[in-house]
Amino acid sequence: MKKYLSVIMLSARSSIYKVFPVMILMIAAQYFLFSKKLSLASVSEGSIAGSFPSLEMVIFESRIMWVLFAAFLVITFFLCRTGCEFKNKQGYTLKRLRISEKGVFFCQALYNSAVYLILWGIQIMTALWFCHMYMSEPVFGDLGSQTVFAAFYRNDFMHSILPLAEFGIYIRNAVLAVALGAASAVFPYKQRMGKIGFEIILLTAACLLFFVVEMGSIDFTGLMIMICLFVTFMTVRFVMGKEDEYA
Amino acid sequence: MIELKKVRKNYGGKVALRDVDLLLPRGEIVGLFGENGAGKTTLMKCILGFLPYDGTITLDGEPVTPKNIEKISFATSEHSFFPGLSPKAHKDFYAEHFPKFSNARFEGLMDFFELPKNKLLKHFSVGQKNQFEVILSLCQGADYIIMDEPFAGNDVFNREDFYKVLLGILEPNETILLSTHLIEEVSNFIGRAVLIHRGEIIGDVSALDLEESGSSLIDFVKNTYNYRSDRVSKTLEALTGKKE
Repeated sequence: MKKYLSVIMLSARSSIYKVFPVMILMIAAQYFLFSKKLSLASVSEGSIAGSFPSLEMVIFESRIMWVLFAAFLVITFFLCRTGCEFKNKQGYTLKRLRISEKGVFFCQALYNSAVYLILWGIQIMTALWFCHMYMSEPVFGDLGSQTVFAAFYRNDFMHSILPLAEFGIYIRNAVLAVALGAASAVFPYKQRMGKIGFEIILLTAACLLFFVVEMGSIDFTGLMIMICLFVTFMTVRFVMGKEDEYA
Repeated sequence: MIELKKVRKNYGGKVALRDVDLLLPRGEIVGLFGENGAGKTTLMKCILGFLPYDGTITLDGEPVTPKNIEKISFATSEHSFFPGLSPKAHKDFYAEHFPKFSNARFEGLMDFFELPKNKLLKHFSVGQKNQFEVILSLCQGADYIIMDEPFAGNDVFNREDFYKVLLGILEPNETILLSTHLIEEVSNFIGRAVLIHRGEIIGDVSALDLEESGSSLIDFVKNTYNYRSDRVSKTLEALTGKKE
């Protein structure tokens, strides 16, 4: 068990110092955009016109969704790069370990999935923090907890990260994290063999197109789950079908 | 011992190894010499199981598999370490995967080469990277240490010091297969020389036999390769018209 843990640690040590700064930058950028929009809204619209924009409108107009997508792309790039051979041949060492190269792939996929789950978790926490900021703004008056609840239903982005009672999207997000972990782990595995890991490209494109869905969009949620399952199946099939080179 | 029997390797239509028979017993330092493209690296990669081949390669009587691969270590000028990790992280990782990993040897060699332990490998110079590659291969606790051009990029003083340290630290049961072009430099330190040419072993001699015959390693290599010492003067004469 310890040897598997050491391979997971190998992935972590090679990428954690890049991945976590990206997450922190994402939070900082989102905070900057949201607080700027919030202060503008509270000054110009709230105090002058007597009406103020809703929480979901502030979130939509602050464009924090695009910051998440940018962070997602950069993190995916770093995860795919971990284990790739450029000026060296680390594959020679990976082939000489007590666990097979397939085992190395599964360890890396596990670590990568955890990174995506953490990214999802951080985005939920940040969104809740922004809700708290909005609620604490005195100019908006005494707002009830229904404001936050409604925002997570009315704003598609918010609903996609924290879908409340729509369990299909929780399942979709969990399956997506697993698929992204596998696809980003197979990329360096294939690169070491001189092949291109197209799976992560397909999945990233699907994420950008179908991650944010309206409430109750069972068709898009179902489509995304199907894509994730397909990519995971293709990835595992490729790795399991690959014979070790020991002649 | 490592035993190769009728090992053959083709790249497409090109023969890289042609029915190679070779025996590497424990406790020898073997130099593997040959021109570029002779098949040295391919031979080493076949031993390590990195390439499929025809024929048989056994390690202490067993085929080379993940179960016994830890008996072989590998140092290559292509560098097999993880560039995003520090030497200290490598030490922890290797200690987990290679039970015989020698911490004492690792610390000693790191101090000898004066390499930083917490700097990421990707920020090392080429010479330092080579040194670290060799350190890892020597500390793995392997019985057979395969080195493919490990000193490319290191200065001569560094190399000479390293040969001395290597001779001092090697255990009697450790075998080294060293591929290099620095024939004269390693001639006093290897116990046997194997010559490969176009995928075939064309020479195999022990240092003792050379000593008894009064011949040097470089002469043996030149004779085996039918090296024509007058080819330089003839070429210059043809090019310049002047007699050397």
